Amino acid sequence: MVKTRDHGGNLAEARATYGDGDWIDLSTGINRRPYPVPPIPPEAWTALPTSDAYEALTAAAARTYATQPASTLPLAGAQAAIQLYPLLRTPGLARVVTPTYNEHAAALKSQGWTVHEVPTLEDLEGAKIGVVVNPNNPDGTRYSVDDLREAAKSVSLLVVDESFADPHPDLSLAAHASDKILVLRSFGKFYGLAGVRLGFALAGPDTLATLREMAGPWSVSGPALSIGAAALNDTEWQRETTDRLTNDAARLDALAQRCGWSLVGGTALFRTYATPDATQAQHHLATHKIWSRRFPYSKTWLRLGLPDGADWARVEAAMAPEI
Amino acid sequence: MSFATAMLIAIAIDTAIGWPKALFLRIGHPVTWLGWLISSLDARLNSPSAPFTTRKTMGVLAAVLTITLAAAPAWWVQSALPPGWAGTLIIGILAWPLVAVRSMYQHVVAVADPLAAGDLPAARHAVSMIVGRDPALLDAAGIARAATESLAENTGDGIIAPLFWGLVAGLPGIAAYKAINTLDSMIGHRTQRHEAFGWASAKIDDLANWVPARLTGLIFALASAHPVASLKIMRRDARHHRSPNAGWPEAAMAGALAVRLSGPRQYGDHIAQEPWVNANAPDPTARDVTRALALYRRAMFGVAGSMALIALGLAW
Repeated sequence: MVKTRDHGGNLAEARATYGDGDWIDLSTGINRRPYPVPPIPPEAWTALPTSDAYEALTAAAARTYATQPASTLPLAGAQAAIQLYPLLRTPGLARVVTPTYNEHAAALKSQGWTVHEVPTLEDLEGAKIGVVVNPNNPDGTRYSVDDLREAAKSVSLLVVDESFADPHPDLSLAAHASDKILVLRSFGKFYGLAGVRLGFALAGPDTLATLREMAGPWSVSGPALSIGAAALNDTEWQRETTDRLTNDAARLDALAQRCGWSLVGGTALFRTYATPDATQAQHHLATHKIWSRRFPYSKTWLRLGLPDGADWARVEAAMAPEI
Repeated sequence: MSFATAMLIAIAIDTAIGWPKALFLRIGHPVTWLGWLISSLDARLNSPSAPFTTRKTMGVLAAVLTITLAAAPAWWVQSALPPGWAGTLIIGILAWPLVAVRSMYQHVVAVADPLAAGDLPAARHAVSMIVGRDPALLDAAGIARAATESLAENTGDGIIAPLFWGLVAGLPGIAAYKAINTLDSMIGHRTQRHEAFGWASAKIDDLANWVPARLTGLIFALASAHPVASLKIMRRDARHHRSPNAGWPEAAMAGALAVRLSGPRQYGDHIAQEPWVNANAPDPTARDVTRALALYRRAMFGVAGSMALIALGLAW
């Protein structure tokens, strides 16, 4: 992949600086205990995806996100939706609540939008497209359903990126998706299968028809349809994973506090801490072959994904007090 | 007991040996202890379910507690010290880890050297150690700008401000300042979790840096080859900066080197539209980073010299 913008997951850079070895990559918010991939039927590879397979996945997604199949469109990752939604209105003024995931502003700009970055939800007012990530990455800011619906009244299209909302279903606006409220969901993060490239756009019928048209036929691969349907139907795995991640987030917070970092915010998939010196903290973890994420706009913030299993012993050793 | 001499001793020890790694691994650093205290208070007092005003009040309490817990022992030690040279020496030694003269210089030299040699990958890596920007996205001009800005800004809150408060109030002054500055960096950000709780910390830090930031600008201007230009740019542009304090040293530096700083910055694709200081001047180059370091050295000599003069004047 050609790297154009600053993302987590740049483990190659860490290896180049700190050497090879058994790295624990906590620089992304991707669940490190992935959904166990079920056997994939041979025809998922050999034949073009069938409408039955699309419908099965759409139904599973609609159930998990608590919305209707008619409001649900599978795409090749939430990123695919981010590339498309700037085309839903003629370019004008877009406002993005920041700091946040930087691909929203990038996609809007590349389609000719003027993008203003604003600090709060209220500041979206008057924009043609308003974008907010809920819960937000990296600071974990949460917006209530009521506040978001209110904000939607003051813009032509409100885009709510719920890439990290899986373990926080009470925050979701999925049930209120419409031609004025576009909700984006990511599959890869919560299910730990980012390589599958699957995500969903939730919206009203007109908007979905336009997005479907723009995405073209077979926008999701056969294996992705098969894995996605299995995972999205597995409510027991979803519940266990939410519980585990919630507990692990508290466990990591306790470790962070012990070494003198305060919680900026986070979700059950990542935690962002304020450290006295993020460079020093990242460097210290890297010497233990643990990779974290810093942010260009802060000297103190450090984001960590959640460790899993055997990772914990090493993370605990690295995050010993007084360092 | 002379605070000016004590600060001079702190500068001298730090310039000579910095904060040795062996010492850091053994006992950490006063700022890591403050971090521990602040994160403990944050975990206990900053309840997400409490109303906004309660969280704000608790934030005032946390700030007062942290500053008190840093300043009170420092005051107690200082008042228990023997008068005269011995006491001054001990204050100097205790203040040494709170002044970052050497590490600042080393971090920027680590950028300037490879940059001047045209080794961009090494310069990128070094600059990533002082700013959080994704270095892969920075070209030579971007690296030079980031290093120069960082040097100017951190001279204010990392060196001049602690020395200023150390000079005014001795060990409790410098300890209180470090507590305030660490509070601001740990909880002074305007996020959902810290908007209320960090309010007091952010305000106190702005106040504590008000004089030192302007003083830093003045010191850069006086140490530069173009003091008039530097002061002119500082007077004109410092106020336009995103931060109420950081603009002063940065604008003075920009004027002294005849380069533009601050300005729109690309953080990944997060482009922050910020006004330039010294907008009509060119971007800094590798050579300007070296010039900025020379200015920094002169400024530090000037500060040490002024401390010596104050010490002598008071002794007189």
